[in-house]
Amino acid sequence: MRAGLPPARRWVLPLAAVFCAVALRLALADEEIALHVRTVLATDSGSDFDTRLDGYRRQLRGLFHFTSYRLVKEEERHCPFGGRNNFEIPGGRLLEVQPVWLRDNRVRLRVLLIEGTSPPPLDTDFTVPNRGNIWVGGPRNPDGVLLISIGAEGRP
Amino acid sequence: MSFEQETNCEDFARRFDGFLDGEMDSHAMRAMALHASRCPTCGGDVERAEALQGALVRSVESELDRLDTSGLWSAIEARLEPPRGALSERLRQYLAERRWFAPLPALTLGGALVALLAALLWPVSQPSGPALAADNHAQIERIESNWPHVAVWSEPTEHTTAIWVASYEPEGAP
Repeated sequence: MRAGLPPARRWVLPLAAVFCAVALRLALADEEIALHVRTVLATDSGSDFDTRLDGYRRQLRGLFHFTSYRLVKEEERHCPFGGRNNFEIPGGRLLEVQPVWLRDNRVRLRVLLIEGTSPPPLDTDFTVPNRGNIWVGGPRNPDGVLLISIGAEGRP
Repeated sequence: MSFEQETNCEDFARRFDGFLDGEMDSHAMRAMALHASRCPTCGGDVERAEALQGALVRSVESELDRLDTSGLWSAIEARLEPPRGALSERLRQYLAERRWFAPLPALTLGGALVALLAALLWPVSQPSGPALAADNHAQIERIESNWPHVAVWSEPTEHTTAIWVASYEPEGAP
């Protein structure tokens, strides 16, 4: 007969695991941030506006003068502060986003846009409001121009 | 006047049972014993009564000696309820008697692992979609570019900021 723990003690391990999971989750939640990267293809042909971009209509219309906007890629990632996160951008580009800190309800990000082996087109540090975003535009695509929204959302 | 002088056969016969059973005070007992020793009739009654009493006692003792009480305690013990053990022992026995209860620890462990994975993999916050900040003003602290055209501007309502980098003459940007 297999000698096991008494029945009452068999519950201790699962309960301890649940407790540790909750505690770990709560601890990590305060140290994580959500990054949102959305890539939009903007052109001057046609007047289509992707309905998935309805929430950004005012920003896009206010910032740029293109006639057509279409969401081509959307990615969200949860990561700890200090970590470097690479987002693939259409056209063989790479966007490296590093959340630095969240302070006074503002998030500091370091963003590096890499295209091929040439020197990076963009290397910048900035802060945005928590749950806010910034747009990076300019990289060409065969059909138009890419506009990249970089947003961050942390737990104050 | 002393009691023994007044004790006669009629008194002795009336108080005979009390005398045999010793249920009288010491003076009366002494007077009764004195009368029995002097009166052959009453003394004979006492001797016969004591002989009968002795025979009766011997008979009862003989019957008691023949009784076998060796299995008495075991028979009583067999009908007694067993003593109750410690709480942990009773709980273990309770769980052992209920076999359907046996997989519960494994199920609990599985549930705990699922909860652990869910807690670790569950997103901290739901996708927020469009920016919700009323003032979306960004503060650029450093900007470097190897492309010839770099521009930074904001739109007037939410003050959302755009950074433009291009290796060509800008078209859609202001």
